[in-house]
Amino acid sequence: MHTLLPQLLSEAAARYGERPAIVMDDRSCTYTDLEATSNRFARTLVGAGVARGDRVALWLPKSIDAVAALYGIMKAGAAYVPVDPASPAARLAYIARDCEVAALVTTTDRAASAEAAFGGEVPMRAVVYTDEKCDVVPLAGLPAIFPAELESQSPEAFQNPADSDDLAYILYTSGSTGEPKGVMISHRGSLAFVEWAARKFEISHRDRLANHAPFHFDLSTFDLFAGAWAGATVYPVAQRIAAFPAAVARQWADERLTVWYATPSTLILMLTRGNLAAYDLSSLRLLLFAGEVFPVKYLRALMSLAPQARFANLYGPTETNVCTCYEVALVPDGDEPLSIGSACSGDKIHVLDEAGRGVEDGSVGELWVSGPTVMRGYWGRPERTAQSLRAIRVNGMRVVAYRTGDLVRRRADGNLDFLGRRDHQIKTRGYRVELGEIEFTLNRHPAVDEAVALAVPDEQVTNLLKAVAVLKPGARVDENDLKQHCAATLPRYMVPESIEFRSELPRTSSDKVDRRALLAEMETTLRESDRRIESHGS
Amino acid sequence: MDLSIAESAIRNFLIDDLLYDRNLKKLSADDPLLSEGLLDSLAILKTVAFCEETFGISIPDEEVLPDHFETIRAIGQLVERLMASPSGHLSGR
Repeated sequence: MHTLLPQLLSEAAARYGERPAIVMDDRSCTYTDLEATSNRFARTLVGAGVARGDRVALWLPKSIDAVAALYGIMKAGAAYVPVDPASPAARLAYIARDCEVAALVTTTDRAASAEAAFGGEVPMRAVVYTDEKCDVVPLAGLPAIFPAELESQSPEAFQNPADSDDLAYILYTSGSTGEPKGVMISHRGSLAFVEWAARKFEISHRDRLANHAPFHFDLSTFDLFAGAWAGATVYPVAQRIAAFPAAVARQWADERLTVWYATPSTLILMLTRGNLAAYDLSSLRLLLFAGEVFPVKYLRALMSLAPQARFANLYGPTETNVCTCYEVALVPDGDEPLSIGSACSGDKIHVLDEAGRGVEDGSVGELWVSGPTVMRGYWGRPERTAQSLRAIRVNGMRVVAYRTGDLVRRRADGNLDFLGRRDHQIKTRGYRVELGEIEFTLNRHPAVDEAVALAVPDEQVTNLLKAVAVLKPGARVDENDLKQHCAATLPRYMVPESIEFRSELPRTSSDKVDRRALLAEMETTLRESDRRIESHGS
Repeated sequence: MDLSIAESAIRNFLIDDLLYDRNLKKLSADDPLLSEGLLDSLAILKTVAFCEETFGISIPDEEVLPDHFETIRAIGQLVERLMASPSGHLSGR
């Protein structure tokens, strides 16, 4: 039984010290090296004033240093706050201010854009750079720490001041009112999932784990921490090749990776564009997927390429990490959607109606989750937290549960079917997006009178994002202007694929925007253009 | 800097239709597109579709690799090579 995530690393270093912990870009580091570097990070951060309970932002591409930094932050007793390295600096600035980070870990080539985004008011005490460059712009005169200073610190074990209910990390997710929310996960919460998953899927020191998900995406916590739990080797995909399914497929096959965990979108692209069928996948023993619905026809194709492997569908929003699991024992033959399975990680699931009463098996209800993996709340948002984390009665007992917003139905065999959302939260390429956040951003543009964001279903990426805008009288703006406006603050995956202009929006009888009518039109247009592409291509 | 016709068409596509970023107006043919995560997987697919349509070529999936998309110049070279090879044309399918 562990109490803190970085203990997993320290124990792996003690037991499997000379085995490779991370292999990336023709570089590798052993568990001994990773333990030593993370201890140096911890000492450096504490020396710069980082204390127990603080937050430290990570804004850099994946690297061995980024992994060492994330462990170092936790060893210092602080929570790591990973920010999408492909997001605009404005998002970093928002997140850094929102959770008042004590320090930032980044690379020197990002200093100038960070400086511009913070606009002189930098809410932290120090910046740690993972690379050395002499002409770096100093961020608002803050102390800058370079690798040479890191190297001068002792690599000896560092006394971690945290306890298991302290935050291990904060992951920001899209917010419906336009502001991303920081999901607070404790060491105890993360470990409940990691230890369950490592045991359930029998991760051992002989495993080689792929890491495709970026560190701001909670899929990465399995790769890194279940890997360390077992003393296995983790292979993070470098930013440079992550976007190329053919390159990822080749690398994973060449490295003879044994465990893959990715979103269905990623796996489908590897299947359809990555020439996966050409490779020897005999070393693959476990394939996990999560983040969105996996269309059965693609899953079937994947299973036929690795018939020896175990396959499992993991489900859970960031707020609960993985709370249900469905192991796919048989290749599904129909096109019935795959079940999301039953409770795991020590959690309990509750299927409730609008009034909070349990519904009978076979009836549709909303999924609530209680148990160890459930978040501590949203950073700095007690009201929002109180709406999502609520006390419910289960067999006369009062438990605090997270309200997922997902509609499910329990089958006779006890497994759950996922049926959709009760709100405007959607998935695209495994990313979770609140349509309201896109609408909020569009509406902030001075030329826009009203805007609606829509998710148009797509077989390979779950949904494509579209928007429809009505401009203010006399305003002139084109589609690219609005996309630029969105890209200045939103992550790229949240920028609509296309923005259409209308003089007015269709309304329902209660004067709400008729999203259903707009969506139906979009789907028709999309089907027609698909047909054109198909007939053109044949 | 001199850009070939293909390079400048690709550059305009990236800036105006794909990345929507004013800060990229200075993007040169040799600036790295991948190391900073400027292009994600969907962006790569759209770039491939743009090149196929604009230059009348077909880019096989196994050519869609980081080396060929590292810079605007690298994409331009891929396009020119496929245009020169008879099997690269759509009509040759």
